[in-house]
Parts: sequence; structure tokens; C-alpha cells
Amino acid sequence: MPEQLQVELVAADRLVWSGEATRIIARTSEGDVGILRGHAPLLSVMIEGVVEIDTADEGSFLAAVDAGFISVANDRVSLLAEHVDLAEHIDADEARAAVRKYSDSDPDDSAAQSALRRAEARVRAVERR
Amino acid sequence: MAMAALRREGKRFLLSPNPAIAVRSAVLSDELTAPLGTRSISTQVVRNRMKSVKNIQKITKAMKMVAASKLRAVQVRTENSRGLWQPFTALLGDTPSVDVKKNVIVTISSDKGLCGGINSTSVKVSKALYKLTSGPEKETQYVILGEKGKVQLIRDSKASIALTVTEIQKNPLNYTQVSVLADDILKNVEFDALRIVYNKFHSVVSFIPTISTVLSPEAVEKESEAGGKLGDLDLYEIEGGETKSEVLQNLAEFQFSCVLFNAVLENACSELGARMSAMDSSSRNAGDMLDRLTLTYNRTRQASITTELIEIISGASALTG
Repeated sequence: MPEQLQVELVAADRLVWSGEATRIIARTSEGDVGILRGHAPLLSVMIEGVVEIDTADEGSFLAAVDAGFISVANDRVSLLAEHVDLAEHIDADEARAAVRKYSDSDPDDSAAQSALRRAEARVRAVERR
Repeated sequence: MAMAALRREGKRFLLSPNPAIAVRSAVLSDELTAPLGTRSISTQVVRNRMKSVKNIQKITKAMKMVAASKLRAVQVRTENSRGLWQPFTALLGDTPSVDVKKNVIVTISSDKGLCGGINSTSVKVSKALYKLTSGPEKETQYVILGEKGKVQLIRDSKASIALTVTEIQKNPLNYTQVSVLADDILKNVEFDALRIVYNKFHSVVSFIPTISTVLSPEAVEKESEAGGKLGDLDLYEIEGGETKSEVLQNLAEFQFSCVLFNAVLENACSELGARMSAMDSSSRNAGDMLDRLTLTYNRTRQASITTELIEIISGASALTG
């Protein structure tokens, strides 16, 4: 077994990050999940939220993700989402403005609701950075 | 009488069987080897022809540069989108030779022409694939993206075409647009296996026709029972959604839109690269034609000057002599 987890963080239009990590925390529809070395194979639906990746060289970074999938097998983790924003690239004011914009939307409007959740995830990623 | 004899001399002079000229006259129309009465106009004809060939050269050179600059931008995005594949292939495997009942062939082609042979290649591969996947109890349909593919396939396969989409590149390609397109396609066709035919961009001069296969969740289950990569799927603890099949269905749709996005980008890159090389050879040919026409023009001009001199001198000597 390799020492670390081999991780790929993939957005729909590009590979955002790939490398080795020691721990991954993501939010799925069943709740938060933490992945360490030796995790059982898993295929789960990921929801809008913040993903935390502790990299092999003691660093760690956050990313705000859109809904997608997370798959784990043989210490290979793939996080697939339609949109991924690395926390360091998010503009805090822009993210908060987006939250304000969508928070007045109709609760039955699913597109606006998911945009709201995505904006909230980005704000959380920026604030925890 | 004398003039008639001299006229014949002149004609022989003009049409002297200089092999170079004899070959070149194939380039020019018959007007140039016409009766002597039109000799001053014949240079005009050559000049007009040179002007139009020069224009063509300028236009094709400009088209090549436009394609080159567009290619740079699209190439970066294409290379980025190639990373999407691996997770899906790692998860679900890639079994292009799977044998299923309902096949759908998605042919990607360009909307505009003058891009070399890439559209014909895509259509040829699609037709071959159609032959391979048809048989008793099997059903194969086409989904066509792009005007050029539609024009070629509608001629003999009109009945099997389920959906055509054109003007995909009207706005710069982005994932959202392609995922909407993917949803449209999925709504309109039923499939066990979806095969996307496109030209993969290897380099500016090399485009390889490629087939990407996406299986429906039911087909994935069947393949997983048969063992192999997909067999590992059973080991997975699958959460989320109401049932395992719902998760797999969503995953298959996501996979299709990612793979389609990559395929559309690759084809766009190939189209631009092919157009670049087509326009490049076109402007080079135009340059060659221009050289040959210049030679003919000079020769014609000199010949007409010489005949005029002959006439003047003979006229003068007829007067004095």
C-alpha cells in the first residue's frame, strides 16, 4: 500500500489538483466523511460544501466544491464536481455579495438554491482559510 | 499579301513550340492563344487572373492566422479537460467493445468547411461503427453534432438519425452549455452504450479519429457481473441518493457530459488545426500559381511588343521600299 492517498480533485472542465495527501474531509449527502489511508471502497454523492485536504508535506488547503461524487478505492481518491474553487483563489467580498444576492430567492427555485449553497460554501472556505 | 505572310510569321512566332509555353497554356484559357487581334487584351486577362489569385492568397493566409490564434486558446482548455477522464475510467473501466442492444453513435463534426478531411473521417468511422453494431434485435441510432456531419449522414442514413444539433461553437465552448446539450441528448435517446466519435488532437498536424464509450448503468451492472474492472464496483459501499441505481445513473450522466465536453473541445482543436494546414497549403499553391502566371504574363507581354515592332518595321519598310 502506498504511504499516502493519491488524490485527484477534478472540476468539470479541468483537473484542479492532484497529488498525495494524508487526510481528506468532504461533505456528502449522508454527512461529513473523513478519508484516511486504508479506507474501504466508497462511492458517494458529494454535496455543496468545503473540502479539506491535508497534503503529504504537512500543508493543507481548502476548496469550495459544487455537488458531485467522491470515490475511494485502494487509496486512490477522486473528487468530481461541476465547479471547484480553491480557497486561495476566492475573493471574499465577491463571495459574500453572491450569498446576499441569492439569499432572497424563492425556496422552490432549485437552481437559485444550489447557487446559494455554492456561494455559502465559498464564503466558508474563505473564512476558514 | 505581304501583310498576310507576315501575320502568319507572327503567329508562328507567338505559338513557337517552346515546351514551357505549351504546358503553361493549359494554365491559361484559350483566349490567350487567340487570334492576334486580341493580343493587347491577352495581357489584361493574365493580369486579372493574377489579381484574383493574389487575393485568394491573402485571404487564405489570413484564415490560417485566425485559425492559429483561435487554436492557441482552445488547446489550453482541451488539455485541461483531458484530466476529467481518468477518475471515471478508473471507476467504471473502458470497454469499447461491449456488445449491447441499443447503441447510439454521437458524431461530432464542424459547422464550417475548409478544414481538410476531418469531417469525412468522422463520418466514415461512424458508418463503420454503425455496420459493426447493427444486427438482429439490435438498434443503432445517430446523434449528430455539427452541420458538416449532418449533410453527409443525412444522405443515406436519414432514418437512423435521432437528433442533430448545429451551431455549437456560436458562443465560446463552456461546460455549462455542453452539459445542457448532454441532458438534451439523454432525454431524446435510449441507450445501453453511447459511442462518441470525434477527432482527437495530438498535434497541429495529427488528428486521430477516436471513439469514447459511455455505458448506461444497466450495462455497467451487466459488465460488472462479467467480471473485470467493473466487477470491483460491487465492493464499493455506495451511499447517497435513494438507491444504488440512482447514484449510478447520476454518475453515468455526469460521465457523459464530462466526456462529451472533452470530445467537443478536441474536435474543435482538430478543426482549427486542419483548417490551418489546409489554408497554408492553399496559400502556398496560390503562390506557385502566381509565379507561373507572372512568367506567362512577361512572356506574353514581350511577345506582343515584339509583334508590334515587327508590324511597325515591316509597315515602314513597305512604305520606303
